[in-house]
Amino acid sequence: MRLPSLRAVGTEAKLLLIGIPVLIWTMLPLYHMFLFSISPKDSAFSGKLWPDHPTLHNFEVVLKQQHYYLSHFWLQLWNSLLIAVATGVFTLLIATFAAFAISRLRVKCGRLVMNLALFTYFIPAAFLAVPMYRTMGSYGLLNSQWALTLAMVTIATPYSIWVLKQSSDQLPVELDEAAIMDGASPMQLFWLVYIPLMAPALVAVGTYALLLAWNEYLYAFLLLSKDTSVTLPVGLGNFLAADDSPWELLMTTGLIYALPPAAIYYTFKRYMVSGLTAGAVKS
Amino acid sequence: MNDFTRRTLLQGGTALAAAGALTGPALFDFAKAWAQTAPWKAEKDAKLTLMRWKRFVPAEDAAFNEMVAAFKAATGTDMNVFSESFEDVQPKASVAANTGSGLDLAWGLHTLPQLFPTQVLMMNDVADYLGKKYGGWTDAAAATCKQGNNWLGIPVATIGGYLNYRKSAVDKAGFKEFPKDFPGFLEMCKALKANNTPAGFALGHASGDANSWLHWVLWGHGAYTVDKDDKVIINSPETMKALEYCKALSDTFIPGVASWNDSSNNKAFLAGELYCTGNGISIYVAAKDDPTKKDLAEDTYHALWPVGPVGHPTELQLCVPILAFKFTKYPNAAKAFIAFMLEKENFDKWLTGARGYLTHTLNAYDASPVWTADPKNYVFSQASKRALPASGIGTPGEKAATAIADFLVVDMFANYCTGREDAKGAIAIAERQLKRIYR
Repeated sequence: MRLPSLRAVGTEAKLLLIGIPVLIWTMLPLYHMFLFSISPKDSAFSGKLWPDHPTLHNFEVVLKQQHYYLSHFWLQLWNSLLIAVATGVFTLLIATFAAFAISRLRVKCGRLVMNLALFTYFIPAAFLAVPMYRTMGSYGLLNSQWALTLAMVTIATPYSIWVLKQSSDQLPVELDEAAIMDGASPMQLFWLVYIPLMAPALVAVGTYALLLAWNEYLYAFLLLSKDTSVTLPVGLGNFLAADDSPWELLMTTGLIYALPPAAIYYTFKRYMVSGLTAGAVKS
Repeated sequence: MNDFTRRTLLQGGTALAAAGALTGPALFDFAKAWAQTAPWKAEKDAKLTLMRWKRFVPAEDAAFNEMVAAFKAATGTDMNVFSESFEDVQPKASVAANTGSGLDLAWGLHTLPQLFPTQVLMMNDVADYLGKKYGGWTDAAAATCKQGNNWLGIPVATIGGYLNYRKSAVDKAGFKEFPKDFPGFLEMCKALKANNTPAGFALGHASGDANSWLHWVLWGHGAYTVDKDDKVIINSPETMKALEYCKALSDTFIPGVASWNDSSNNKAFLAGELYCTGNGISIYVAAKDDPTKKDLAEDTYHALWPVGPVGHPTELQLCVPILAFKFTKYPNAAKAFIAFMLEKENFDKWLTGARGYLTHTLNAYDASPVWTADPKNYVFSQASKRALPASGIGTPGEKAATAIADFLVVDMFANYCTGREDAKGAIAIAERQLKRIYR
């Protein structure tokens, strides 16, 4: 067996020197959150690396809604799920049609639409929060889950159109021509040729929109108000209302809330990488 | 913080019964009769959206909800009530004020109505009606809500913070009664430390606890951030004396106070490590509600903040004013609701439900049953009377609120007490920051 060269060892060592601190930096807050979640209330702030008496009691309290602040835990989790899924579905629907029309049907002004889609990202989403609040107020949608869903779709759609358009540009145009020669209508072209070939990008974009809505705080805080209609991140904010906040329950709830996106990401990781980078480099 | 359990519900219900408060059908009958004679008749099909701060006592929440239901039944006003944490009330109210939509009523903290004086409905008639009927408003509450002669909001209550101490430790330190002046208080803290039963007050960014006790030290020495014309006057001999006093006090504290937040002293006191601190009634209530802390609850007492060299009380207490936006379509309903809240038949019950967390701002409620139901509650009845507005002697408003929110006074004391700066340096930093706010 050939021994690695000194240069290769040096490169590996440099990577480790960077990688290990980055790993610790990333994992430390997560570990801290986990540590709180398995610590009894009295020892949550003990500063130990592992609690003397680890417990799952906090999970029981959260899942059974046994604390005052958690009385709507399942409902708020459901609200998060509903809004995230609705955002994913609506974003996919709009972005797919738009990308198909621009890329495959080559509608007039398609390029302008693409540029406008990109332009929206020049304005940070936070700047649009107050105008969005006013708009939703004008339509009587404040404190309705439609308000947050529509706001999230508005934010997610431009990027999704851009990604899907780039991705669909990669598909050979000959496929469309062959289908048209066989008498396919634009809708048949869309359903029977375009959608199956775009599956990886669609999964990626759908996941992106879903996670965007799942993790949203600012818009959820502004547009939703009642305990029964807010999403869980906003509900978690209420934990900080007291001068003796139950941090161990806050962290436990946070940990539970972080699990679905992690599962979704790792399930669709393959599609996320290939879908979101499709078209990034011209072949 | 308490879990919302059957036990706490029963406790709340028992307390309300003891208070002789109206409940159920009697409350509805009162509400209907009140609506017939009230100076404000709710508009037909009125709908009010009210944002309030997040309740921290379930019984207070229950009493408030019952009051809302009675008002709704009596006036036909559709009430949409939701709550936000303290920190979130102001931004959401600001968005509503600036967009002219979303809320009719906002119930927040400190000087909230002063932040958008042109966007609020004047409450002069409501303040006049309630003031005349219930013995007048406390000075601090009135100053918090008034601009000139106009009432921008109604100061519903004050969240009081006072000294929580272990009587056994104070007795052992040789003090038969809690000191009433600054030198006596310092001597007591020294004695507590000598007995290994230390006091401790937050020097970190604890919004409620640190701001309240350090403003008390500052104002007690006759020092203020700004004068009545809002000119920055922090750089004064009085401030220097306040710093020296605070340094001497902090030398007696339990270690770690420089990093304390609002929950730190609660935890330390309930864990039996801390024997005197400044806090709301929450420590005592938490101890009372925990069967394992019966002895600690019995040994816990409350005291007024001692009076400083200026010779009169100088306390910073947290006012909770309510305002109505002028863009509301239902101004009469909004005014009627606010007046209804503070009527004796509702307010006594609500105060009782709050278990001492909340203090009245109308003088007639000195006689409210909550202050005698448990003698240890009484101290908190003084919160609004002994307080100065959040601006001290300056103008209540956004600038004063910013100075508090940015912990300028807290940091000045912390910088000196922890040795990060000398006294002149600590004052200079605060002065520079204050001038930036008040320019």
